[in-house]
Amino acid sequence: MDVIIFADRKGQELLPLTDQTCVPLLPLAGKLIIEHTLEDLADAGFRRAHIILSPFAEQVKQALGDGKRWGMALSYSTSRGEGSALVELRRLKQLPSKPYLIMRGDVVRSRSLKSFLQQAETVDAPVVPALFNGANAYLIVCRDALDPVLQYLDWTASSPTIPAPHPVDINGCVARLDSLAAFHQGNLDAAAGRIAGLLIPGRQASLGLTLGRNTTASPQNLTQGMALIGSNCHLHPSVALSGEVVIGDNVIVGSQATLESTVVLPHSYIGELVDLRNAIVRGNDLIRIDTLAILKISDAVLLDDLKNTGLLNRDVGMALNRLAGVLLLVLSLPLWLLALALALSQNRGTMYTSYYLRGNKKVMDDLGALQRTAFSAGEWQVAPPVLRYLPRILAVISGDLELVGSLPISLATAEKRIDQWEKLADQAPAGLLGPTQLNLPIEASDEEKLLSDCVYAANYGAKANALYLLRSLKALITRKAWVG
Amino acid sequence: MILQHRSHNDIDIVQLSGRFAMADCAEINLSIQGMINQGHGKLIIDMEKVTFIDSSGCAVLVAAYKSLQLKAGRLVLVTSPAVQSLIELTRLHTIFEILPSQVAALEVLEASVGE
Repeated sequence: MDVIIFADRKGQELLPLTDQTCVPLLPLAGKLIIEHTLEDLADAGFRRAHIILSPFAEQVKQALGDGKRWGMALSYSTSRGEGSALVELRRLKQLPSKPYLIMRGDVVRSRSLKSFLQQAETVDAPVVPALFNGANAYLIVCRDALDPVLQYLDWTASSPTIPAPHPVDINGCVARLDSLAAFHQGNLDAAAGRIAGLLIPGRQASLGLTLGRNTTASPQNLTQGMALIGSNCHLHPSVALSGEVVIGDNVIVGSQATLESTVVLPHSYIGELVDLRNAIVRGNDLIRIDTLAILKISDAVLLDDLKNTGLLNRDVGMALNRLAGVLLLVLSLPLWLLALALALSQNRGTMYTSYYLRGNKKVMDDLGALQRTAFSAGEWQVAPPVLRYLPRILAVISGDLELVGSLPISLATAEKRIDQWEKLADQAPAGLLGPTQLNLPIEASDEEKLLSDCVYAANYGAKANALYLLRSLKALITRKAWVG
Repeated sequence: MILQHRSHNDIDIVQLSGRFAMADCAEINLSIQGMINQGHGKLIIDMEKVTFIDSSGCAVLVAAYKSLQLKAGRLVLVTSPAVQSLIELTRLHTIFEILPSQVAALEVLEASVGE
C-alpha cells in the first residue's frame, strides 16, 4: 500500500521554536516528531512512503535521508505549505495507487496504526478516516483517489471534527502540537508513556529516570516524578528534577539548578542555581508555559545556546579573517594611491563617499534578540570597481565584513526581507568578495542579487570560499574589474 | 535558451528549453514581463525541458511572480528536476505554485476561471 505523509505545516503557532527549523524536525521525547510516524509505519510493515514538505524541506531530507534507517524507501516533494490535501495530491507527479494510506507526519499519535488498518479493512467505504478516542487522528485509508473526506487531513487552526461517514474510532491519543503549551504537554505525555507505544530512546537508570548514551546524571537528580534525559548530557549531581522533565541531547545543567515540568531542547546550557518551572528552554530562549511569555536571556551564565559557543573556532576564524584583511590592505596600497589620483582628476568635488551597510557584528536589541549592526562603508568616486570598493577592506580588518561572503546590504533593504526564502540569504555572513560581487553586474536587479546570495547561503563553506578567493584573484586581471 | 509562447483560453503559456542562465535572462525577462502586461493575469512557465538554471533564472521567475501579484494574477510553474532542485535549495517552493505537467497546470488555471 502506498503511503503519503503530509509534513508541510508552516509552524507559525510554534514560533520561536520554528524560526530555524520546521515542525517535523522538532524534538519530541528524544526523537524528531516525524520519526515517531516513520517508526509506526515501519512497525506496521510499510516499506515506502512519500513525504510532502514545505518550510526547511532540505533540512528534513538531510535528516531522514533515503529512509534506510527505518527499512523504508522515502521520496519527497514540496508544496507551498498547509495546502489542501486534495489539491496537493493532484499536484503529485504520480498519484498513489489505490488503496493508499494518507497521514500527517507533523503530529504525534499513539502507535495504533496496525489496529486501525485491521479495522478499516472491515469497513466498506471509499475513504476511512481514523479517530483516536473521538479525536481526528490525521490518518485516512483511501480507496477512492480524491474524496472530499481528505479535507480532514488539512492543517487548520482548530482540529476539524469528523462527522460520520465511516470513521474507525479506536483507543489511542493524538498530540496536535498546535501551540507552545501543546508542544510542551506533548513532550511530557510522550516521555511519561501517556502516548502509548512510542519508542522512547535511553536506558532506565532508576525508577522514573531514563538516560541516553554518554550522559552523566545520577538517580539523586530526580527528586520526584520522572525524567527523560537525552544523549551526551551532563547534569551536576546537585541538580534537582521534579514533576515531569524532558531534556534533549547535548544539554549541560549547572549545579543546584532546579527543573520542574520543563522541556529542554537540544544544545542548551542551563546555569548554576537557575530555577525553571513549566517552561520550554531552547538555547537562550525561555518560554513560560503558564504566562506564554517568551524571553531571550542575554546572560550566558543563566542560559545559553551551545551550538553558538564554538568560541575558539569562531575567534580563530575571525582573527584569520582580520589578518587576511591587513595583508590585503598592505598588498593593495599602490591601488589606493591610484584610486586617489583618479578621484582627484575625475571628481574634484566629491572624491570619497560613505554610507551605512549591515555588517556581521551582532548586538542584543531591547528584546534580547541578536541583530547585525551597521558599519560605515566608504567608496572612492571612480569608475573601476576594483578601486571603487577598496575602502571595504577596512571593514574586513574591523570584523564588519568577512573576506568572502554575501553582498553587504543596507539595514533598510534587510528589513524588506520578510519571506522565508528571502531570509535564507541572511544566513551567510556579508563579505568583501563573493559570487554576487564577482558574477553580477552592479546594475543587476535586487532579485537577481538576492537569489545569488540565497544560492551562496545554501552552499557556503571553507572550500567554496577558497574557490571564490581564487576566482577573485583571477578577476583582478579582467576588463570587468577595471571598466565595470 | 529557446522561448516559445502561445495562448490558450486567455492563459499565457511560456515554454522554455535549454539553459536558463544569466546570459539570456534579460531578454527572457523582457518577453515575460511584456506577456504579463498584455495578458489576462494567468501565466504558465513550462520549464520541463530546461537543463540548467542559475540564480539569475530564478530571479526572472520571482520578477514574474511579483508582477502577477500586482495584477492579482496567478503564476504556475512546471519544472524539470534541475529547476526543481534550485527552487527547493533557495526555498522558492514556499511561494511558487508548481505542477507536474503543462496539462495539469492548464487544468488548474482553467478551473479557476471566474474565481
